[in-house]
Amino acid sequence: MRTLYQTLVIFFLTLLLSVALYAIGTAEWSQPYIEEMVPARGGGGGGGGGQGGGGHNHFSEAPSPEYAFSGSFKTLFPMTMTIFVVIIIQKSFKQTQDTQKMRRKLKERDS
Amino acid sequence: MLKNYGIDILLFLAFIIDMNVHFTGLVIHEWLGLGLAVIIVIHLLLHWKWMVAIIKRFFVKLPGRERFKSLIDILFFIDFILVSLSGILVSKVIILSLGITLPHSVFWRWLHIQSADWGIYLLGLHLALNWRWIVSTTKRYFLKPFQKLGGLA
Repeated sequence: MRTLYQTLVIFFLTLLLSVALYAIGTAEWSQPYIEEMVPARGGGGGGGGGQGGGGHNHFSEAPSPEYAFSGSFKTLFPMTMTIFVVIIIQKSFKQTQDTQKMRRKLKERDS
Repeated sequence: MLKNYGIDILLFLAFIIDMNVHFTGLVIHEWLGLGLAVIIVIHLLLHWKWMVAIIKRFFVKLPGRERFKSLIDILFFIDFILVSLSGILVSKVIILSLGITLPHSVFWRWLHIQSADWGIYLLGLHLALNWRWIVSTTKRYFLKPFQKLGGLA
């Protein structure tokens, strides 16, 4: 019963935010901002070239195993870097806090 | 604890695989994405007590680190909704299988790609801020049993 209530709370919260987002995304007043925000897709002007830069690739419906490593690397690399940087910042922050604490204790002892 | 840990590992693996659309193809990407949304709800349910406690203490008394952590979690939840909603709106497989056709929108497609990219950094932050728990649980459930086995041999 309790789990059902909790699930419903999460569901309604998700639904509420989704409706709000959908309303913003489709509202007339937001369209100029959206047009400005979303990069224009290729197609027009320039032409030429086999691969055509810019626009996003269309994904095929079938899996392509050759992307297993390169595709995962694109996700894992920035994620690992974020984890690494945050852990280092946390450690140095804790170290400064510890040294400050020690200094304060020493000062108290001296006085 | 073990249930939490198992679901977290499942979530992490599903996220990495689902982010690789070239590898999975659209069909698996969409269904796995739907499954991921369900597992995220289970993940939230398993952390319900913590969530309620943090929300209660958020504006009253909460250490800076915990406040930052919960802010990241809220952002992550919003990002999850952004990815899911835009994913549904640009879906070609699931929505079509339900017999619904949605108009093509560059905006929702852009939002889906962007929010998925933000998700990588938010998940990185989420993992880094819970790193101590991850390390201690991994040690408890993976390393210690192996060490015990090694000791017996």
